[in-house]
Amino acid sequence: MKRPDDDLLDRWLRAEEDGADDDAAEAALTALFAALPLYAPAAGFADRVILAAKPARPARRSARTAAFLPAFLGSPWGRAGLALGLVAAALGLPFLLTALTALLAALRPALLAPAAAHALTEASGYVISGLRFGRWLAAFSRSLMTPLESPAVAAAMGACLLVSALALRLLRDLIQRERNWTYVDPI
Amino acid sequence: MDERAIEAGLALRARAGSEEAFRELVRRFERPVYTLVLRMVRDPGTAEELAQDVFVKAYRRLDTYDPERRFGSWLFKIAHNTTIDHLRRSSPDLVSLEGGDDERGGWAAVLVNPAGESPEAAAQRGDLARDLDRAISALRPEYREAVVMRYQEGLSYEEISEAMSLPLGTIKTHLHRARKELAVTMRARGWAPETGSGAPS
Repeated sequence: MKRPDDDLLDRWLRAEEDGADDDAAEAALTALFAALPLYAPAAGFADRVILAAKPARPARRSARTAAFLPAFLGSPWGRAGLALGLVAAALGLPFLLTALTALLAALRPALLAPAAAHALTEASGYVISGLRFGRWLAAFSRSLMTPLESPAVAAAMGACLLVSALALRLLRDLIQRERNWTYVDPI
Repeated sequence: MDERAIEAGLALRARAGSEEAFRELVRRFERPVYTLVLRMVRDPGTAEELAQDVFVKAYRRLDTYDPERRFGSWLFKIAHNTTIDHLRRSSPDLVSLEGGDDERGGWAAVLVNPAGESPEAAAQRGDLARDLDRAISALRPEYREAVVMRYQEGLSYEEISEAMSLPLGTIKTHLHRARKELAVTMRARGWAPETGSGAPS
């Protein structure tokens, strides 16, 4: 028969055998657990938790971006890219001027006035629709409130609200209670 | 100042942004949380990931912690929910702590032995720990979790009830039955009182 080096296990098993003193059995088992080796995660656990818990700060990201630009422009590829970009911009300048001139010609008052009038009409339509909906909502609320002026209806409504609140509470409890081991496959 | 007040103070400082306070909380609770999760999932790697997840969730939800309550029981509730959510998602193909452990980094790889213990005493305690561990593993998950919270982490019935979202009476019944089952299993494994009756030889 195996024997432990102390009487903790004996005390617990005897207490369980006796069956009379639950507190003694509890105390003995607690003492037995306290005497046993502990489980521990691998070293550096706290550091890993801190690292995972703290998200990367935006300041550090902008610092990285700021450091990236001079490094990129200092490299041969970066310089070549910059030169090509400047050449492309110089070549595109005449086309840009032409495009801007055409755009300004299109923005004449004679062309803009009908567009502005159309936009104004559309906006007024939306405002009128909104006002109509508001009126309908007010009428609907009034029709709902009228029966509540009667004490019996108000009491019934109160009771309904109470039942709904209780039902919601019950639902919440059910959802919380679902997090128990009944719904987990035993390994 | 008692431990409870110290932990609540640390939690409040961590909530205010003190990384050092949160680190201290992790140091204080890493073993209890890891032990609880390991007992439930029975795989050291998964247990470490989940324990880390528990602390990260706690860090991000520190604003919901009520300093009137014990920090440990709040943390154990997060651990309970995280473990259940994980077990629901995962398929039951996890490594058991019972067999083939050493080469796979099982329970023996994560046990911490007290310093200054003789090799014989350490071996004996190791045997007892292994058998008790197997007996705990054989319990139903809800019994196992309650046993770890009560006898290993010293939580009160009320705190366990809150952490596991079960009525107080259910917790008491779980613990009573779990203790009886543990005793039967331990006796069956050859651990019996010196003068006790009914012990197998």
